[in-house]
Amino acid sequence: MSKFLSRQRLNGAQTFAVLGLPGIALYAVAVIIPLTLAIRYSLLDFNLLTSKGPFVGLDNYRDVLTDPDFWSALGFTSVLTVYLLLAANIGGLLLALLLNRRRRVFNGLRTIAFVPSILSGVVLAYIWSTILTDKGVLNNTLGLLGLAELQTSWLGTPLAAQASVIFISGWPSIGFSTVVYLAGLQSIPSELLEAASVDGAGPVRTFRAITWPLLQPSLFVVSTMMIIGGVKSYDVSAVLTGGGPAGATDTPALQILRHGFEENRAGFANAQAIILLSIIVLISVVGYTISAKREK
Amino acid sequence: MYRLRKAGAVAAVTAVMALALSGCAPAAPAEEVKLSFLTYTSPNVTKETWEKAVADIEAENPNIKIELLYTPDLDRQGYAKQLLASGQLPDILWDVPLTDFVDAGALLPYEASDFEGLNIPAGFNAVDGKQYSLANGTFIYPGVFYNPDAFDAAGVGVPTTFDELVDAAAAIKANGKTPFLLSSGSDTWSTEFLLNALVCTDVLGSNPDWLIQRKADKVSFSDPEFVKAVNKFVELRDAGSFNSDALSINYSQANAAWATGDYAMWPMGGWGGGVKSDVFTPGVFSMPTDDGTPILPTVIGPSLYISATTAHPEEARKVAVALAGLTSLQEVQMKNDAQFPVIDGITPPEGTTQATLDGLKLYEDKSIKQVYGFPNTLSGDDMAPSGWTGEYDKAIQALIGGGSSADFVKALDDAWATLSK
Repeated sequence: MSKFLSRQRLNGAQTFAVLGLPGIALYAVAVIIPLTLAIRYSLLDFNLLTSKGPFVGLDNYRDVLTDPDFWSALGFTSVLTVYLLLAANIGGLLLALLLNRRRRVFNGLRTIAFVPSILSGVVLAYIWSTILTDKGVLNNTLGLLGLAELQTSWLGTPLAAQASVIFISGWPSIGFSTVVYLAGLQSIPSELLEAASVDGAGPVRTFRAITWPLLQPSLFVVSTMMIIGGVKSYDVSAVLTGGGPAGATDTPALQILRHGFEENRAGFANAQAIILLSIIVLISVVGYTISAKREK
Repeated sequence: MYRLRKAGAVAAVTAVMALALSGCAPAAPAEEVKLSFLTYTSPNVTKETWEKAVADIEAENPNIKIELLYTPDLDRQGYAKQLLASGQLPDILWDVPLTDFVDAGALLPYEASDFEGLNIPAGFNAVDGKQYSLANGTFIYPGVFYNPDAFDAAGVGVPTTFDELVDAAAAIKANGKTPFLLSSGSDTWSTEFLLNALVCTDVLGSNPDWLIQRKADKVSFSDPEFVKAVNKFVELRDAGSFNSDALSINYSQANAAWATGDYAMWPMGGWGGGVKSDVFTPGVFSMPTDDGTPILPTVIGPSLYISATTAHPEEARKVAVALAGLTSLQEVQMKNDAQFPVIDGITPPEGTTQATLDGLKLYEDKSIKQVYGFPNTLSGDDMAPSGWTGEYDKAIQALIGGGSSADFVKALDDAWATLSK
C-alpha cells in the first residue's frame, strides 16, 4: 500500500514537472523577473542607457508621489476609468439584453456590436484624429445640423480633449462587455426563468430576482478589465493628443515611457510603474473580495 | 557594461557553435558583410530615397549588404534610445542624442580623414576631442515660410523688423487670412518653432552661448532677454495671429493646411521648405529682429553614427562616410526636404522649391549673422537636458492656450532643474 502511494506521489511530481514547470518558467521570465528588476531599478537612480545608477532608497517613490504631473495624470485616468466602468457595464448590459434573442438577425448584430473591440486603440485614435479637428467631420456635421453653438476645439482645449480621449477609449469597451454579459445571460438556466414566469413575475421582477444576481460574475469580469484597462490607458492619448494640450490628457503610462526613455530617468519611471501596479492590484483585490462575499 | 559583456558572451558562444556546425565546409570565396542602418521616412524623404541610396553604395561595395530599418515615427532619438536600452542597436544610425550615447559608450568615433570634402566646421560636435557624428546636411532652424500672395493682398512686404512683422500680421488678419499657422496635436514637437525663432533672434543673437550659461546656472529662463522673446510670442497670440486649431492639428495636417494658401506664415524647421502648394509659391525669411539686423538660425545635421557594438566597424564607417557624401542622396534631400548639402559642387536639382532656393541664398549670404538653432537637442555643451524639450513643448501648449509668460518661464526653469539632476 505504502509502495503504491509512493509511486502515486512520484507520478504526481513527474506530472507537475512535465505540465507545471514550463508554465512556471514562462511566468517567471515574463512576469516575475521583470517585476523583480523593476522593483530593483525603482530603488536606484538608474539610467537605461548607461545601465548605471546609485542606490537611492525610496527617493524615487517620494519624487513620484510629490510630482503634481503624476497626480494630474492619475486624476484624468481615474475619471477615464469611472467612465469606462459605467459605459461598459450599463451600455454592455443593455446591449446584451437587447441582443439576447434566438433569431438569426441577432447573430449578425452581435458581431457588429463586437467589432469596435477588435480595432486597436491606435487605429481608433487615428480615425478620430481627422474627425475631431476644428475643421473636421464632427464640427462640420454640427454646423450642418444647425448646432454651431456646440462646435468646439475637440482636441485643442483641455476639457474637450479629455472628453474626446475618454469617449474614444470607452467606445470599444462596450463591445467587449456586451459579449461578456451575453455569455452570462445565456448561462442562466431557462428553468429558473420559466419558473419565475409561471409564478407570475414580470420582466423587471425577473431581472432583479434572477438575472442580475446571476450576472455578478460577468459584472466582476467586466469591472476588473475596465479598471485595469483604464488605469494603464496609453494608446488613445498617445496617438490623438500626445498627452496634450499642456498635459491635459497625459496618463501615467505615457509618463512612464517618457520618464524612462526620453528623460533617462529609469529609476523614477520604474517607481511610477510599481505605484501604478500597486493601485491596480489593490483595486482588483478589493473587487474580488466584494465579489466573493456576494457569491457566498 | 554588464549587458555588453553578456551580449559579447552570447555572441562568442554563438560563434563557436556556428564554427562547430560549419565543420568541414569550404571557406566562402569573399566574405559578405551585412550591416543594419536605422533611418526614418517622412512625407519628404521616402523609403524609395533610402533604397536608392543604399543600392548606390552596395553597387560600389559588392561585399556589403545593407539592411534598412526605419523608426516607427519621427521621434528618431527616442527610438534610438529604446534600441540602445534593449541592446539592439543597429550598426549605423541616423540621428541619436549624441551626448547620452557617448556617455553610454554606444558610439565609435570617426577619423579626421572621414571629414575631407565635407563643409563641416572643424571639431563640430566633438566630445573630448573625438567626433562621433557625421552630418550630411544643414538646415535653417527655424525659418518663417510665407505666402507672398497673402502679403501682396494685404498690401504689406516681407518684414525686416519685429514691429513690421506685427503690423503685417494685423494687415493680413484684416484682409481675411490667418497670419500664422502653428501645429501641435500628437506631434507636440511641432509646437515650438515660432518661439524658437524668437529666442534665436532675441536671446542667441546677442549671446550665442546663452544655453551654455544656462547649463552653468549663470542665466535663467526668467531673465529679461528670454522673457522678452516670450512676450513677443504672447503679443502675437493676443492679437489673434494664430490659427484657432493650433493645438488640434498635427504636423501632417499642418503640411496640408499650409498648402491650401489660407495662411500667411508658417514657422518651421528648414524641411518645411519642401512642402509644395498648388495655389501659391512659398518663400522664406528669417525672424525679424527689433532693429532689422538679420540673424539666421541654422543647425548642422542630422548626422550618421556608428554603433560601438557593430561587428564590422570599418565597413560601417565606410558606409556612413559614403552616405554623408552621396551626391544623389543630397540632391533628393535638397529637393524634397529643403536640406542644404555639405559637399561642394551640388547644384539645386530640377524641382527644388522656391522656398529652398530662398533659404539657400540666406544661408550662403556671409553678411548675415548665423546662430545655432534653439533648442539644441543634438549634442554639445549647449545641449538641453534629456527630455527638457518635451516639457518645453508642453509649456508652449499652455502658452498658446492662454497661459502667462511668468508661468511659462517658471515651468521651463523647474523642468530644467528637475531634468538636470
